[in-house]
Amino acid sequence: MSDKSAVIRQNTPNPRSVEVVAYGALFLSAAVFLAGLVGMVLGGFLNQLNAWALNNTVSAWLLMFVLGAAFLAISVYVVKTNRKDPAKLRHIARYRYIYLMLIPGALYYLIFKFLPVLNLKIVFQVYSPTLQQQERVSWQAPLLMNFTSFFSNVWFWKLLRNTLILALLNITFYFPFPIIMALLLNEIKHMSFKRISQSVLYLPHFVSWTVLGSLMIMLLGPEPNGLVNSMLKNSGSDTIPFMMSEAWFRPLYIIELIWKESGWGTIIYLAALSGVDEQLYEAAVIDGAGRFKQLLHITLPSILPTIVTLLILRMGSFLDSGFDQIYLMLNSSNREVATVFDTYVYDMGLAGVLTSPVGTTNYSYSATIGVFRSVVSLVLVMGSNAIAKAAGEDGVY
Amino acid sequence: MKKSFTLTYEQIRQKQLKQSKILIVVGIVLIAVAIFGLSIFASGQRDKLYTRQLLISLTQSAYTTAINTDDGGAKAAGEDAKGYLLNTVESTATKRIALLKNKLGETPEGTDAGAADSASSVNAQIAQWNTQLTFITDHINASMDEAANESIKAEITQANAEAAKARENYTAAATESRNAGNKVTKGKGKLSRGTMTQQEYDELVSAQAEADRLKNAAYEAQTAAETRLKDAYLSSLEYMPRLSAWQKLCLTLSSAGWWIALFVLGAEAVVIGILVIKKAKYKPSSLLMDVIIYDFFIVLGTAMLLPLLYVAVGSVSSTGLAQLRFGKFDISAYKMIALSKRTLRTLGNSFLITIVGTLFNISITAITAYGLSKKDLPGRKWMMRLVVVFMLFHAGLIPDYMLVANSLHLTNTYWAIWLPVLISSSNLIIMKNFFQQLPESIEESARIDGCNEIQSFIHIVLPMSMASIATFSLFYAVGHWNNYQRAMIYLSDDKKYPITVLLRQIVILSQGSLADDVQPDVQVWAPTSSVKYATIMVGTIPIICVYPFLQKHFTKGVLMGSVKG
Repeated sequence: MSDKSAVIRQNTPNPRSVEVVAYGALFLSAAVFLAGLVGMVLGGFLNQLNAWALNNTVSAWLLMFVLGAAFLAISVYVVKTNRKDPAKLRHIARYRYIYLMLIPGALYYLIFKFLPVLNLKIVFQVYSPTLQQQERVSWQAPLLMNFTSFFSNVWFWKLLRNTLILALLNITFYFPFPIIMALLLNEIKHMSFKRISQSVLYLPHFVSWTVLGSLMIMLLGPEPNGLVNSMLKNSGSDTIPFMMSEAWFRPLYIIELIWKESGWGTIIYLAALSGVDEQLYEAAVIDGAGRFKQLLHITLPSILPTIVTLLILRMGSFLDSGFDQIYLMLNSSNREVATVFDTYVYDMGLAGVLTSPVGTTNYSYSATIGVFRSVVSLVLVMGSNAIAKAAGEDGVY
Repeated sequence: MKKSFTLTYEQIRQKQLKQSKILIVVGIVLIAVAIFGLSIFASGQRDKLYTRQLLISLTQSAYTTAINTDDGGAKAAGEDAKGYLLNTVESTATKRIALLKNKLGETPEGTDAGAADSASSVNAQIAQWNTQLTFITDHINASMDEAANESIKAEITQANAEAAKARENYTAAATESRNAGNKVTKGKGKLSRGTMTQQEYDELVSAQAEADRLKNAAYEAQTAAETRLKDAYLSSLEYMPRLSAWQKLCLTLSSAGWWIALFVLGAEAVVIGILVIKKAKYKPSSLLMDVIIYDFFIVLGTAMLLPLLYVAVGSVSSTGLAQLRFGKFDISAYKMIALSKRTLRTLGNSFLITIVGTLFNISITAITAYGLSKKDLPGRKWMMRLVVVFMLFHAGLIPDYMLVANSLHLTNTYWAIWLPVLISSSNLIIMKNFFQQLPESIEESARIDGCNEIQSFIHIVLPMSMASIATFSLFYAVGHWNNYQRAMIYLSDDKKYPITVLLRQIVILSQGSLADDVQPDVQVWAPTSSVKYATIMVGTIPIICVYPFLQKHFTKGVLMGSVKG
C-alpha cells in the first residue's frame, strides 16, 4: 500500500509547478477567448451583419471564442482548486494522460455535436444561402414565424401522419420481430445449425439501402425485368406496380426493414440471453415446466430490461424514418404517403442547393422542421424513460 | 444430494426423449400433409384460373383470325364486337359456319373433281370452326359454372337453344330458298326449251320469292336470337369469377409450388436427419416445437438469401433473367465492369472511404471509451451525460450541413464523410462498458512498473480487447461502405462518388452509364440487366467478405455483457 502511494506521489507533479502551468494556460486561453470575442464582434461589424451572423470569418472566431472559453474555465478551475484543495488537484493530475486521450473525443463533440446546436439560431431567422450576403440573415418578424408557417402548412399534417404511421408500423411489426427470432434462436441447441442461421440472418445487414433499393426494383419493378411481375404476367394475372403505388409503400417499407435489420437486431437480445443462469431452467424442469412455460417465465423476463432499453431508445428515433431507405423508395407516384420529416427537410433545405445554385431552398424553414423533430424525439425518450422508471424498470440514463 | 438431483434430471430427460421421437414422426407427417395439401390446393386453383386464361387467349386468337380473314361479313362482325371478345367469337364463328355452309350449298351439283375437292375443303373448314366453337362454348360454359347466378345460366341455355333453333330454321329456310332458286334456274332452261309452261314457271318464281322471304325472316330471327344470346353472355360476364388477390397468389405460386414443396421436404428431411443422428441430446420437452423452430429458420433464411441469390444468378445469365429465362452462363457483365473505369473508380473510392474512415473511427472511439472507463475520473459523470444528451438530441441535417459546408469548408472532400460521424455515441458507450469490465489489477501492476496510462492502454488494454475492436471496426466499416446520404450531400465531384451513388444512378434511376466522362470513344455503355446485377454484386461482396474474418471475434465482442449506458 505504501509502495503504491509512493508511486502515485512520484507520478504527480508538485503543486507549485501546477500553479505555474495553470497560470500560463489561464493567460493563454484568456487571450484566445478575447481574440475570439473581438474578432467575432469586429467581423460582424465589418461585414455590416448581425454580430451573431454565421459567416465564414465569424465562425472561425466563434470557434476560437468557444475553445478559449472552455480552456479559460478549465484554467480558472485548476488555479482555484490548487489554492483550496491541492489534494483534489493531485487526484485530477493523476489522470492527466487520460485527459490527453480524451481531447480528440471532446473536440469531436464540441465541433460536430455542439456547434450545430449554435447554428440552430437560424430557426428564428430568414436564412437562405441563395440570398445576397446582406439579406441572407435577418431575424424573423415574429420570432417564431418559421414555426407558425410550418404548423399552418398543409404538409405539416401530411408529414406528421406519414411519419407517425411508419413509426407505429415499425413498433408493431418490426420491433417484436428480432425478439421473437432471438427467443427462437435461443431454443436451438444444435450449435452448427444455430451458427449457420445466425450468419444467414445477419447477412442482409451488410447490404446497403442502395443495394436493397436496387434489389426491390429487380424483384418488384415493372416487367420484363421485375421478377414478381414477370411471374404474374406469365400466369395471366394483372401486374402490380409495387414501387409506384401508394398502397404498397408502407408494407414494402416494413418488409424491407424486417429483411434487412431484424436478423441483426437479434444480436443484442442474444447477448442478454447468454447471461441467463442455466440452473433456472434445470429448476424449472424439475418443477415440471414445459418449454413454453420456461420461455414465458424465465427467458422472457430475463431479457425484459434489454427490451425496455431498446424500446426507450427506439422512442428517441420515433420520428426518424431512415433517410436512405425512404429517399431511395421515393418517387412521384408515392410522394403523398412516402414523404416524411427526413426527406422533406432534405428537399426543402438542401436539394435545391445541391441540384442548382439558384434552386428554391430555405435553410431556416427546414432547420425548423428538424428542430421540431428533435425536440419531439427528446420529449418522447424522456417521457418513456420516466414511465419505465416509474414501472420499476431501469431507464436508459 | 447433488448426485441424486442430477440423476433425476437425467431420468426426466430420457423419458422425454422417448416421447419426443413419436412427436417427430407426427410432426413430419403433419407438415408433409400440410405442404402437399397446400400444393394441391394451389394447383387446383391454378387449373381453374388457367381455364379462364386459356379461354381468353383462344378467343383472342379466334378473333384475330376472324378480323384478318378476307370475308367482309366476318370482318365486320369482328370489328363490331371488338369489345366483347367472347361473344364476338361466338357470333363470328356461327356466322362463319353459316357462310361456309352457304358456300357448300352454292357449290354446283356438277360432278367434276375440282368441285368435290373444294366442297370437301369447305367441309373441313366448317368442321374446324365447329370444333373451335364447341371448345369455346364449352369453356364459356365451364366458366359459367363459376357464375353463381343460376337464372342467367338458364337464360343463356334458353337463348342458346333458341339461337340454335333459329340457326336451324335459317339453314332450313336457306336450303329451301336455294332449292327454289335452283328450280327457278332449271325452270328457266325448261321454259326456253319449251318443256314447261309459263304458269308453272311463274309458280316456281313465286315459290322462290316466298322461300327468300322465309329465309330473310329466319335470318332476322336468328340475328335476334344471337343478340339475345350475346346479351345473356354479356350479363354472365359480370358473374364470371374475378381474380381475388388470394387466387393471384395461388396462380403465381402454383407454378413453383411443387418445387417449393420438394425443397421444403428436402430441408425437412435434413433437419430430421440431424436430429435423429444427434439423438437430440438436449432438453427435449417437445421436439415438435424444435421441428417448427427449425422450419421457421429454414424458411426465414431462405427468404433472406433468395433475393441475393437471384441477383447472383442474374449477373451471370446472358438474359439477365428477363422473363425468368436463364439463357447461357455468361460473365460478360463482369468483364464490362472490369473495363468500366467509372465502376472501378467508385469502388476504389468506397474502399478508401471505408478503410480510412474505419481507422479514424475505431482509434478515436477506443481512446475516448478508454478514458471514460476510468471510474473515478473527475468530471466523468458530466462527460457521460453530455455524450448521452448528444446521442438523444441531434441538431439536424441543416445545421450539420452549415457547419461542414459553410464553416469548415469540407464539401467535396472525404473529410466531410469521415469527420461528422467520427464517434458513434452508442458504440462509445458499449465500448466503455467493455473496458470497465477488464480487471483493474493488471493495469494497476503495470502502473507500478512505471507505465503511464497511454502505455498501458497500448500494451495491455488493446491486446486484451481485440474482439471488441474487431466488432466495432466491423460496425463502422459497414456504416461507411453502405453510406449514401452523406456522399450524396457533401460530394459533388463525379470522380469522388462511392459505389452507392453509382448504384442509385444506374439501377434505381436507370440513368447514367458505366462509361467515364473521359471515354467518349466507347459506345454507349447503357447497362443491361445483368450488368446492373453484377454492379450490385460488386457493391455488396466486399463488405460481406469482411464479415467472416471478424465473425469469430464478433460473438465475443458483442457478448461482452451489458448493453446499457
